[in-house]
Amino acid sequence: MNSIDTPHDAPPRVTVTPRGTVERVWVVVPHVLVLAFLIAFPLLASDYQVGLMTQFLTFGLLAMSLDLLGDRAGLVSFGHGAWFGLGAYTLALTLEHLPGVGGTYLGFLLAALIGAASAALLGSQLFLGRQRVGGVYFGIITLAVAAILQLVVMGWSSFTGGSNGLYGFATPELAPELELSGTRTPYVLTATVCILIYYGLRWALGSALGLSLLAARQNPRRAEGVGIPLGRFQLIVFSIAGAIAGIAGALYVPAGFVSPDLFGLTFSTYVIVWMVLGGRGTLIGGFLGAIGLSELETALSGSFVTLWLLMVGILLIVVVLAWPRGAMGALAAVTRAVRS
Amino acid sequence: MAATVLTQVINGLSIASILILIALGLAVIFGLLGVINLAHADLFMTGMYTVVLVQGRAGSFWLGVLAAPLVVGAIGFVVERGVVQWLRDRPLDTLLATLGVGIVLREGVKLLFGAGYRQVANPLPGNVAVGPVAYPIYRLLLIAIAVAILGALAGWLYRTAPGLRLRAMLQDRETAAAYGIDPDRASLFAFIVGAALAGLAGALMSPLVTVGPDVGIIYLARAFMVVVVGGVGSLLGLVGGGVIIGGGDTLAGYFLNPTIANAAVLMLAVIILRFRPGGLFR
Repeated sequence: MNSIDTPHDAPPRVTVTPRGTVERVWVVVPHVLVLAFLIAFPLLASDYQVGLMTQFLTFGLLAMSLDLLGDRAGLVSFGHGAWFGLGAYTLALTLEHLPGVGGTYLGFLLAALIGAASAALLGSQLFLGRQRVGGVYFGIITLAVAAILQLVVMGWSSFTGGSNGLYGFATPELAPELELSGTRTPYVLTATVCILIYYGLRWALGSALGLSLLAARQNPRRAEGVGIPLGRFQLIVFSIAGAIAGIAGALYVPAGFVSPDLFGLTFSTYVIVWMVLGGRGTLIGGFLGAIGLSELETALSGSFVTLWLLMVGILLIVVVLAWPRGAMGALAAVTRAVRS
Repeated sequence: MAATVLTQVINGLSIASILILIALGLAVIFGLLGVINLAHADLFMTGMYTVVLVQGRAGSFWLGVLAAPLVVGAIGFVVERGVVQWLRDRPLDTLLATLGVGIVLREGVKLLFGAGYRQVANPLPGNVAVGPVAYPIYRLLLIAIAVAILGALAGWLYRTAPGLRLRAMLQDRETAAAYGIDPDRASLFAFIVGAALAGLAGALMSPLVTVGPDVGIIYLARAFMVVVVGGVGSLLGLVGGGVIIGGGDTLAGYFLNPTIANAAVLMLAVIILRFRPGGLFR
């Protein structure tokens, strides 16, 4: 338990700055395509589709924060939905007691802060002690923490609305005349936040901190030997992941309804499935998994749902066993094949 | 007053024995293989549905209780050969893959039986007098069954050749292999036993709950806590964990709202884990 588990046996990803013009184009093109898609989507799709996509983007952001935790700290949280739930309830409760622009910004700030602080508090107990708690034990503890929070939310109904959840709170407002209602405004906010956080994380992971983390994951003992404080770094990554999950949860609030299901094992399981099927260790894979699987599930709704979930289960097993890189790995393989 | 205390004590024993029953299969697989089986809750649930099926067709609850460990043990065989054995050196991936197995079982049961709830008739309705209090017979029987299964498992592990082989493998896989123990076969065996125990627990619990495809999930977090609080790899630890979690639930439930009591006990378990990651009893 003193070493952190390697989440999968993928070779290290070391980003080498491409030299030739052709190489650079291959790196830039996917980014341009994705950004173009995000800009074009609200112009072309129906209100219903845009509303769904907003929700799926928040799920993607959540899955990305889980991927960050797994890839850089070697930790898989089995209750990651709880941090999303914390963020959502934080903003909803803030709006209930303090409607308006001030409440909106305060709520978003608190969602991020509470997400980070709760992760930091738990992390400081688990990673900084003499006996570091990691690997599968971290999974069990996060599962239990989510269960505890769900029980508290259900039991404390005068404050949290109990099993009915919260609804009817004030609509969040970004500016006096700019309500986060309808579909377009929440979409623009959510997409912007996702893009900012994604590029922010990419930048941070390329920095000295990010590279130390990678080193620590690949060989914990040697990393500690050269003076990388492993536990403290795990704590930092967990806190960042908690903050991002909290923000993702707050972005979910404009849908107008939050429920204790967000703390449930089922939702946290979904987050893991999105991350694994999308492709671990890629950041963007979480978005690919969350959006792709959620769109498919919506399209196949009705009597197919059970059959669909059965297939997702089988797919999860197959991907873990035989194709640990998920959909992003498949995309990369296709790209390589096309180029050569 | 004395009657209230006695009722609460029996309640605590009853909940502890139920938790131990549920956690037993999990503990066997975790203790002997180091594998956390996230499909455990769903194997447990599959045991319940075996009883639903057998009771519906043959009309006998006890026949269902006999069939459940066989059916779920067979599923365990498939899961070990098909999934778990390939992930021996990747503990986190084992968690993810068994999570997938759980989804497949849950949705498979929904497909076969529908998502609705089922009821299993209690084979032994009625109460029996324990001193001044009347207590449900079936719950008392469960306490006895839990003790009997624990005893049988301990006897098997510490008094028979297959048990010795498993313990040898647990201590040192390579040395055990050098002495002619096939670790592959021993692992398979342990996994089947763990799964069969999950099925048996589900079958025995089925008259006490409303049976539904998601029923296992409710117990999953608490079953994990029973295993890790007591200490992995010791049957005595399992008993200790069961008594702490089950007794704590009863005690806190007497003073607090049951939901908050549940949360408080899980919180206690997390705190114990933080200070004694190896468990209390080792």
